[in-house]
Amino acid sequence: MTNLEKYNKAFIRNLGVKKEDLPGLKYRGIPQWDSIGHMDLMADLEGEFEIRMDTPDVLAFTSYEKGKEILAAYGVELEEQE
Amino acid sequence: MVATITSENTGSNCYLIEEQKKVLIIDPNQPDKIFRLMESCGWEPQGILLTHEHFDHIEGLEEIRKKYRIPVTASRSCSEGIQDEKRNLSSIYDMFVWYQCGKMWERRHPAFVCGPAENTFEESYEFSWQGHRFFMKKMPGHSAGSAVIGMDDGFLFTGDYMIQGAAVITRFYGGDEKVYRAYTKKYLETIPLGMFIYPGHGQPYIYTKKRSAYEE
Repeated sequence: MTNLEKYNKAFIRNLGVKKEDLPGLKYRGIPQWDSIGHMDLMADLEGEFEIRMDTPDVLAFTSYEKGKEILAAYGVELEEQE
Repeated sequence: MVATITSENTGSNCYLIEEQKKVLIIDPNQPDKIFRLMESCGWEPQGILLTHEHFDHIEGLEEIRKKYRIPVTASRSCSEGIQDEKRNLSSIYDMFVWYQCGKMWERRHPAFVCGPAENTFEESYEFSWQGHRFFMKKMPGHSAGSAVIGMDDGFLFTGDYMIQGAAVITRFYGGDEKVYRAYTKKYLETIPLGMFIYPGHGQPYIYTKKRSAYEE
């Protein structure tokens, strides 16, 4: 499984969305991505990619796209595998 | 008597049930505060009871065990959960504190695990202590290992159920909305009026009207 697939599946698993919903998806843009959904998503991504994000990055993770930038800073490349 | 220690970080309540200077500790949160109270009152700790496996209810568990060498009682599932940083949610400690209290530390709080409980039960467990009758009853939904603790038919320690003004959260890892509705919610709806409720967060209160147990 590619990193992008893992990334997408974390959103699908934790927020109950479909793959086609992911582009443009924003924190608090849907009811499931509230603070609880966010905590579940962050914990899942950290486990999946074996990283530990700093708290400001966790709070800056406010969209599907922004999350890719943040994960890249932790050495998790997603875009080039698309 | 029942003393309450509330964590300023997570808002969780630790309860100390005292009788003849002997104490049972429910959901140990901040060890320094617990030690201070125990020592200033000359109390002797005799056991620890857990309502569930989440980090805010077990944060002080290992430190207290290390100092007092007293047994822990919990549901088997809770005992398994405290040994797993994903199930005990300690990996989201900082996020939880941020959303709960608006506090942020520069460095992430490390995830942690605890050793297994010495006494475990599957569905329920009854015991007597210092002339009081206790029961612990597994109540899954908020987490797989959640339980309520009853004392003398009039006092109920509810963990993260029946928190005033707050809906039950079943969306954390290990939570299950279907199980909550099929089992735990039905039990909570049978709690008689007049019961003293000691929730895992917020103020204890007397159950005087049908409400938070099944608040949506």
